Amino acid sequence: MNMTIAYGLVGVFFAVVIAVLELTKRKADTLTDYAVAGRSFGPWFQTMSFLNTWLPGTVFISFAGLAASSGLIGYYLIFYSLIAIVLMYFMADKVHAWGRIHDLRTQADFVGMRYGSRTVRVVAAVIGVVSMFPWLILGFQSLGLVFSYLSFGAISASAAIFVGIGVLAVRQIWTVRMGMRGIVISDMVQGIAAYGLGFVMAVGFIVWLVGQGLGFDRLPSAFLALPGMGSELGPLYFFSIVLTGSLGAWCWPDIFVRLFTAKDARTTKKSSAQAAPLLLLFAFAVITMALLAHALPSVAEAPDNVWFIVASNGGVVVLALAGIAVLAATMGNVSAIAAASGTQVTQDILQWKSLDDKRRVAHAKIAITAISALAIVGAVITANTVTGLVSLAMTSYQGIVQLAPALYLGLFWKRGTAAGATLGMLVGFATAAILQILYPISIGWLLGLTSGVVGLIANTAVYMLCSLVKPPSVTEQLRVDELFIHAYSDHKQDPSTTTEALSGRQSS
Amino acid sequence: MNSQFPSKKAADGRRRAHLSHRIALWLCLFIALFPPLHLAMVNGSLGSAMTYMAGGPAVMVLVIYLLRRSDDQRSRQEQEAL
Repeated sequence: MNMTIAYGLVGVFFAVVIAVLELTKRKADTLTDYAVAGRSFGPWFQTMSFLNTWLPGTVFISFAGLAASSGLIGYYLIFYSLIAIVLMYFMADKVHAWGRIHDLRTQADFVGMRYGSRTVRVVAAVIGVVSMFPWLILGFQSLGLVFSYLSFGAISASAAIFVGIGVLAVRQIWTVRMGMRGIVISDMVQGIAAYGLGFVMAVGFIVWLVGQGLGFDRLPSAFLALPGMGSELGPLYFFSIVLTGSLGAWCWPDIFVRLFTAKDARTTKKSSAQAAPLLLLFAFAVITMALLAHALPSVAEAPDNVWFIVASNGGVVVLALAGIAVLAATMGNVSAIAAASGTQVTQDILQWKSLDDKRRVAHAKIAITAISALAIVGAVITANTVTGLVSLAMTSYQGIVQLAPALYLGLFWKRGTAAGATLGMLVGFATAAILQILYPISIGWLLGLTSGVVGLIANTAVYMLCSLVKPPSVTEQLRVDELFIHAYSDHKQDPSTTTEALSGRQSS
Repeated sequence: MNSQFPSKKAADGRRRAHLSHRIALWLCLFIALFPPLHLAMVNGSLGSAMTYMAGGPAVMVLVIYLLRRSDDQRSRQEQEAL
């Protein structure tokens, strides 16, 4: 009976999302419509879209689990997320202006245009797609915990993973059919459920925990400190994970493409001002709840299950609502990753120049379907071996952050060159990969720096050295100068007025 | 570019905005990324730990809000000047 009620409530939520998608369905004729929703959304849609992509379902699982098992370090999510939002604010003008003028649709398209280089574009696209893939598989798998708890023991943990995979596979039908417009619209519904409902529930859980006598005074003192001098992780570990998280934010293609769906730069800025307090309230409530729940014996045994363990004290309906919050957050994230991967494969890696827009949309749909199918197969194969995949996903974070110098310095420094960007990415990626194998968590003799941060230092040094030693040609410098001049003109502009013709940019 | 900011007042406003942007960015980076501050604030006592973990992000949110408000005001002034 309990399982019927819980699964039934999840089914109702799923039906609401699908109904909203069907009611707002609109045909996408061009790839710009399909990939970036025609750059048409206002601030609230942008806000929810960012949150639903940025905060996946694993916030309720792994991030809450980290706070429940290790204490204050779990709050690092809030610091790096807010820096990511600050960066969104500062990137808004240039990204939007360049995106509109050059009809850019993906992150790789963006960096390729900035450096006037097909190589940079392909390298960035490949790194992006490869790094996102483990997260797509994890997204499919993460719902296993939801359906396992909601079954009240009626189905096995393995069977629950297959139920989760099945639900997300069905959801992908609408992602493929509707592209970015469908994703952004459903992000609004899913975002309200995930972060609105999630916040209310987390606050309720905190009140309940404190009422049970599980206040802050029950926390061990080690929980209220960060790794310092002499600790195993090192005093720079917290700094490293915040730095990697914040700089890595806009290196994820699925997050970056959100900057293209806004109708103008002001919308992006407004959405960053709206997202910041929402994110703070939600994340602070969830992490604090997990921190307090540490004293529960069952949480100490399985910290990743903290959200469901606490929710199960509220009965079947509360548990089902907790499951809906995780499902809603996961659906948004999986859809965004699949769409971004598919678009980058067709738009940036394969680059079929002879196709018209309708056929490009068709090819993007095929690519999204194929990538989703591959992820489903990957999720089924690895259904019972999650640990290796989590490790791979963490490693991919150290890799994806190597796009940061090319992306940010390309935005804010006119002298960066394609050679510097390409060489920097390759050196940074190789450095991070080697160090990640040798030091999976942190590097003790570097006071706790992580492999990704050391890779970033090498990457940035190579980027700047190459760009200074071999400056761009006069034609290229002129093209870049003009790009920067247009960066603050947030108007619809005739692309023929730019010096794109001079640049030799690889048109898509 | 000049045609967008025709008056000296608008140019001054833009310079002030650049300055406030830089201050805001460095303040947020300082709060989130400065290791000695992390270790000094989060030293095992509940008061300092929670003050930093809640207060630091709250200041960052406030900075983003103020930044957007001042940008909006400047943008309106520029529109009026035009």
